[in-house]
Amino acid sequence: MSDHTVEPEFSYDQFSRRDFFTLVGGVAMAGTFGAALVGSFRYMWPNVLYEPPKRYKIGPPAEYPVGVNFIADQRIFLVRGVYGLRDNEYRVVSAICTHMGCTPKWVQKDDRWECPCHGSQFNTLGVKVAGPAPRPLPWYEVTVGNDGRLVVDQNKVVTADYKLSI
Amino acid sequence: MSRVADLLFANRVWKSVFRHGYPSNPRNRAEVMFQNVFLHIQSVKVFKRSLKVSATFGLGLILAYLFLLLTLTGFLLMFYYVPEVHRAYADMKDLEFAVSFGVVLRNMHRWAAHAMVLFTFLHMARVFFTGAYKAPREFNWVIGIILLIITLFLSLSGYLLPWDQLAYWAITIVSNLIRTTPPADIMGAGASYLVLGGTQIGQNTLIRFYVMHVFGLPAICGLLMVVHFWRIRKDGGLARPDESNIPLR
Repeated sequence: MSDHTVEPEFSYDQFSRRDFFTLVGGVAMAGTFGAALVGSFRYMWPNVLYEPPKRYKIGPPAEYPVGVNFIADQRIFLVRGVYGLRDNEYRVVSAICTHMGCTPKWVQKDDRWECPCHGSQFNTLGVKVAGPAPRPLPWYEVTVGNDGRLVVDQNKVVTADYKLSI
Repeated sequence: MSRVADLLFANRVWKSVFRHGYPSNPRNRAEVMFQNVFLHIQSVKVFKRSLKVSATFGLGLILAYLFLLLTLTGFLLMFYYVPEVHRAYADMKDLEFAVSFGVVLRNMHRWAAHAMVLFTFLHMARVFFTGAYKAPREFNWVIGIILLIITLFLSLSGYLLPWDQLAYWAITIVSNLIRTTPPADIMGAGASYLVLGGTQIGQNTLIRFYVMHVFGLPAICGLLMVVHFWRIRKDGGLARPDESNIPLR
């Protein structure tokens, strides 16, 4: 007989009933708190956003004259029929300066956008030519919806040579 | 006179609250510290050098008092400020112009918040230059670093609450910083979504920052402060040069 006052060394042969329940309890507790933690993080991730939609309709193509059209509600420019586009071709660029989010103004005589806040300038491709803006203005996909109106999808950023032909 | 004293102090109610006698002898003075939850943060005896103002300039204590001041003024500000995008700025203006003593409370909160950041750096400089971060106090320095980060987070989250241009653009910059966490497409975008509560700064962002500012961060800060103070005591009080040469007082 061994001395009962000495704790036996751990071995799988002597994995007692108590050890088993300790393990089960530990795993159950870790699982419970782990699940609560994961659930809490998931809870903080909103499923529904009350933000303006990123994909929206603007007017029918014929509504916009040839040139650079500023659409104030959505803060975009619709370019039609100029700078390599035919009269039936369209493209859309963001009107939010990539520096601090002001609205650049289209300056027709210089063929460029100029931001009033910190002086960034963007050429007809949306590429910065002056000022502090860190990135070019993004171009967005524009398509024609079922009802004949133009659909802009800001989730889909396209290259500056993208164009919609109608 | 002694009859009045007996009436006040030699009764069951008083003795149920204060179990020690009047602190007129060393034993009772020690008992005062031992038996009072608020006083026992101090040790019964301290090193003579620790009593010198120049030992710490009281910077840590100033920080603790600033935290207390911010908690109390913040508690009062919460009665008028509603974290809703259409109201927040107006509520802040009301506190300044329409609420009695609102401007005092808001400015106490504001200046104490600025002071807390400043004194955190001064406190850290003192700890560094006196070598108080060395063994056995290394871990308390680490807790202090976490407290510094929490202080900065508290400062940032409070900065958004007035919902003015400064607030909006400060959070814009911070969310753009978060967005660059590599890999930016997954971690950066995800972290930013979690912090803003969406893809742009709005109501979700305001309420998130508000809840973190008034509950989440102060709770963590308070907990870590308890550990911070407890460890000062357990590590033998303030750091000092060769202790064998300095008499106890």
